[in-house]
This record gives sequence, structure tokens and C-alpha cells, in this order.
Amino acid sequence: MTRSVRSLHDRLEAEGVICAEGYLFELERRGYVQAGPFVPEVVLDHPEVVQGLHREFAHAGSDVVLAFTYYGHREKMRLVGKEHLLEPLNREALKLATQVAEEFGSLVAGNVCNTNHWSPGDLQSQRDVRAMYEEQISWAAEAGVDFIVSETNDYFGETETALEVIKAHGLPAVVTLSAHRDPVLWDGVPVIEAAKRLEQAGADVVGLNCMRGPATMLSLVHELRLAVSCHIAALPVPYRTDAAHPTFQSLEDPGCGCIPGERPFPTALDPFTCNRYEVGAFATDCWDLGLRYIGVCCGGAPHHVRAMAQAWGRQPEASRYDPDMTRHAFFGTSGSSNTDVTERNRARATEL
Amino acid sequence: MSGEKSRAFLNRLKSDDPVLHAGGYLFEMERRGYLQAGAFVPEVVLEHPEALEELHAEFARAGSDIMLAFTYYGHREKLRLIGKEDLLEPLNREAVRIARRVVERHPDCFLAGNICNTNVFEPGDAKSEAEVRGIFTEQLTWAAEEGVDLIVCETIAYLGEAKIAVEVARDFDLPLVLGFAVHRSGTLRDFDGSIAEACKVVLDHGADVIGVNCHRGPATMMPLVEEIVGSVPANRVCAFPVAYRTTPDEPTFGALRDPAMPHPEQVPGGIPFPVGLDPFVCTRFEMGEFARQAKDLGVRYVGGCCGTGPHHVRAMAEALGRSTEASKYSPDMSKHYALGDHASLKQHNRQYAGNMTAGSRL
Repeated sequence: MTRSVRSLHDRLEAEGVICAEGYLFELERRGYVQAGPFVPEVVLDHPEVVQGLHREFAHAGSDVVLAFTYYGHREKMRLVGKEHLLEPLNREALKLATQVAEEFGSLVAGNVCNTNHWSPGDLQSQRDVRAMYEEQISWAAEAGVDFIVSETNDYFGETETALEVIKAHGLPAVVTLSAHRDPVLWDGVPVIEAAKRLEQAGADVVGLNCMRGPATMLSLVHELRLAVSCHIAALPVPYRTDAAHPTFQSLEDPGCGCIPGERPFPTALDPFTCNRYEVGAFATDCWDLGLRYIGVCCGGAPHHVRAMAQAWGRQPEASRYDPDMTRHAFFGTSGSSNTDVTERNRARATEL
Repeated sequence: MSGEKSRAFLNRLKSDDPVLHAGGYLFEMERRGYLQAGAFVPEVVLEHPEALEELHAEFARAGSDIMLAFTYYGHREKLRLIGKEDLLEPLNREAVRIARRVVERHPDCFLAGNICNTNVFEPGDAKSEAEVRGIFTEQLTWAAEEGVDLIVCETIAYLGEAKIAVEVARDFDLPLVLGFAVHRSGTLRDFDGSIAEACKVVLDHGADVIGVNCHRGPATMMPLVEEIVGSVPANRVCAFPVAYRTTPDEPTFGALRDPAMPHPEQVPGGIPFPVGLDPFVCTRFEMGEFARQAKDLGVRYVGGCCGTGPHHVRAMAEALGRSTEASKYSPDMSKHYALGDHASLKQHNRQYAGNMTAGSRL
């Protein structure tokens, strides 16, 4: 390991940490991940594409390059009949992320998540899950990651297991929970209570990711702020969720008659996507609440990440390409060779 | 005719299988953080060629038949605006070379040169007409020298500018596809007749394919397409809408308003266009439906413009009855952990999630 960067803890105490996630959805959109199983086979099939997206996010202001091992665990690989690719996929994902982190001076994080295998009361399933975390986190530790993200957790017991394995490897842990419609984990622990217990169990950062858009995640962030004293993470999906539809799975699109199954989740969510300014405003709200670890999850794209970085006063490389509407052909105000033409085009802007 | 592929393109229009056109490079590269909204000049061609080549590849894998060199707004007027006229020729040549590299890996694709609205055309002003002619001529000279199979001239709002494009293209002996930009008014800026009538004029003037692109989403472009196919042969009509949900009251993406926008004061101009359009993006299924309807009307050149992503293109290809390279990754919800019914999934997750929307816990 030759990387030498400001540590997670140093950044949390100062400028804060922005972490772009959402690789599954964005690479599905680009035609490299299958919706449904959602297994990151792209890591082995098209590694250059994964690195391209890592670079886009880093260029847009993400401080963390998150190895794309979300759903790259044993249970998912079994489901698609590719368990033999488990270790190569994890190691390759870690290598791809580390290379880009070196280019940008970013942090690099290993990633574990909901296994979909955990059953409360089924000890065998719980031993299986521990083994799944053990193997993934061992590979991440060997790759020299700066910390581990454990995310999209549905069960408290499962989350606690992930945290134990991360701490056993001596790595910092960012642990984020899924807050479904009813923000109670599936083994009965409310997410706020779960966060308190995870803080006590040694998590460095606790919080929420996925499921909720900025609008319906923020109220829970307020509650979390009162409940824990450690750093809090908030990584919403950039979709317009609301009180009646607090999660992206619960969104409805009655006007569109052409969605299979009539449910926008997961492949017809486009018309719910937040604009970049909403995501930037979320970043500002989080900063004001004292949060120093934020990001985007499913549906997030580089333009959202740049807006977050800029809301925190940063000028990431991609700021070079910030919108400048003064130079638009019709809405602009500057720079034509022919003032008459500019004025005439501007006069037509209301017709566009 | 210049080459075998140019002839193959024209023959393809006589088949039952529409040409699929992936466009929207400006907006997608802007979304990815490599292009500036406002000026909208494709400097990415020279500054991040690998990112552009990747998008070409994504569109090719998703089933696009057209590899469109990214020279949209890469013309002299735009480069002057940003003070980089010296980059004009390198940018135009390199854009074709990047697209050509992807065609070499996807040899069934047609390589298209691209010209567009110059924003300097002024009806009846001979000087501006000469300027437009110069802009088109230099771009097409470079495109032809780099070996394009056809020319796509797009987003044209003047009949006069369209005619110049046809005249210039004729000198290069390349097939010409020309798309009109139809603003709210529903007409061109220098022609009182209908768009269908304008299409007939331009076809008679020598265009090979004529129709509409940009500004309108599928819902408000389709009525125009229906009108156009009544005026010119359907197989010579093109239609590539923006992938946004426009409506009869807000028929163009510039006209869209977003009353639910939480922070309008932060959005340039306070309107969705062009950098706050996310909550209007069409689903892939809507774009697929547009392709199917266009094919049923006999249209043989269909696609997407601003706002289009690879997922839209693949859905259009599949709606046209094709299987693409990216179809390997088309959705299969039977293997979703909480919504799928695959026999090997843990049943308790599915039971917890519940059935679809009503009563679901997800």
C-alpha cells in the first residue's frame, strides 16, 4: 500500500466526507448490470466501465472511491450460478477502486451489504452471514482499504454481525441502515435505536442509506442527531419521495400505463429523479445539522455529486464544466459576434 | 454515392427494420460532469475522449445503428463563443475518429457526421446565409474526409437553413437525414406552412430522410409524426424526441414547469430547462412505446435526443423486436431478493416485502 491520504477521521473532523454510491443503478442504466438479480458482474465483464464511473464520481467531488462489491457476496453469486467468481470479483473490484483512489488522492472503501440470507432465529443462516462478511472484509483488508462501508442493512442482527467482523479486522466502520416505510428494521429494532446500539458497539459513523429520497430521509436525520453523538451518515436515493410514498419502492406513477407491474421501482423511476439543486440543498441541510458524511445512493449520478460538493463549498474538478447560462444560444446574455442575432434569438427564447 | 455503407443505409430505409438513432450526447456528457451547460460546446471530444468513446460504446451495445460523431454545436459560431476557434478542425476530425473506433468494434453501425442549428441564420440576410453555408461546408469537408457514411443535420428551426444544409450535403454525395426543431408554436421560424409541408419542401429539395428531433418528448412529437407521414413517404421520415415527459400545455422541454421544484431560486432561470429536467425524464418503456408506434406508422428512422440514456436506447431496440448486446442485462425481476419469485430465494424476505404497492412494506 503506497497511498498516503488524509484519513477518514481527519476529514470527518474538518471538511467532511462525500461518498458517491449508486453504482448498481447507474451501471444498469448504462446497460452493464441486470435489474432484478443486481449482481455486479460488470466488475469482471467490463472493468474499464466501472473505473470510468469511479473517475466520474471522483471528478465530480466524491472523496471516497467505493469498491463495487455491493451485492457481490456469496448469496448473490450463488443466485446467478457464479459462486466460483466470488473471490476474483471482489479482488478485482477492490483493485479497480484503489487504482482510481490513487489517481485522485481519494479514500478507498470496501463494501458489504444486506445478504438477503439472514433469518432471525435461524442460527445456521447467521453463521453463513458471518462467514460471508468475513471473506469479503478479509479481501478488502488485504487490499488495504481505508475503511469499510456496511450498507442497506435490513436486520439489526445482521448489521451487528457486519460491525463485529469489521472491528475484528481493525478497520473503521461506516454503518448505514435501510429505513423502509416503517423505519423499523426487520427484526423489530427501530432504526434510531439501532443506530444508538451500533454507536455503542464501536461504529465510527452510523446513519441511513438507500430507500428514502432527501425529503423523507431528512426528518430521520434530525432524530438521529438527537440520538447519537458519533458522526452520522446520510446517503439518500435522489428520488422525489414524499410522506405518502416515503421510499422509492413505494412510489406510484398512475399516469403512465406502460410500466410492467405498474410499479416504478426499480426500472421506471426516471420521472422521480431529483434535480441537482435539490440534492445540493440536502447537502446544505445536512452540514447545518452537523453531518460530515453524506452521499448519494441508487439513482445518483455525477451531476448530483458535484452539486453536493459545491454545496459544501468545494470546487471539484468537474466545476470546470458548471452550468453557465449566460452563454446559452437563446437564454444567454454574452458573447455573440452579432448582437442583433443574439437579441433576436433571445427574443425567441419564450417560444422554445 | 460515396460508399457501400452509404448505399446500405439507403437500402435499409426500404426494409421493415427501422434505423435506430442514439443521440443526446450533450446532455448525457453534461450529466456525467464533462461538458458545460449553457455554452454546450463538445470540448469533451478533446478533453475527455475516453468518456465520449465509452458513451458511444454504450449506445452501440444498446442497439443504436447510428454512431453519431459528436460535433453537435462543434461549429465555428460556438467555438468562437468560447474563444477556441483554433480547436475547430481538430475537434471535428477527432469526433469522427472516436465514433469510427466504436464502429470498427460494431461494424453493423453506420458512421454519421453531424451538423446542426448554427444560431446565426437570419432569413433574407445574404451575409448570414453565406456564413451558414461556410459553417456547414467546412464541417462536412472534415466529416467526409474522415469517412462518414451519412450526414445527420439536426435541430433546425428555419426552412432556409435546412435548404442550405441540403445544398451543401449534395456536394458531398452523402445521404442526408434532417430533423426540424419544432418549438411551442408548432411551426418553423421562417415558414408559415405546417411542419408536414416544410418536410415535403425539404424532401423535394433533396434530403433523403426528413422529420423532427429535439425539443419535444414522445407525447408531443408523435402527433407531428402522424401528420408528416401523411405528407411524405413514411419510410423517409425521422423522429427522435427528447426523453422528457412533455404535455399538450407544455409541448417542449423548454416549456416544462416544475411546481414541485423545492428550490427554484437556486435553479438557473427558475425553470427545469436545461439543468433541472431530471424529474421529467421518460421511462425506458415510454421510449420503447414511441419506437413501436413510429415503426407501425412506417417511420424508418427513429431514436432519441437530449435526455436519452443507454437504457432508453435498448428499450427502443427491443420494442423494435431486436436483441442487443446489452440485452444480456435486460431486467429479470424474478431474481430480485424481495420482489422476485425465483425458487432459490429466501421466502421470508418476499413475504416481508409483501405484494407490490398495496400494503407492501418496502
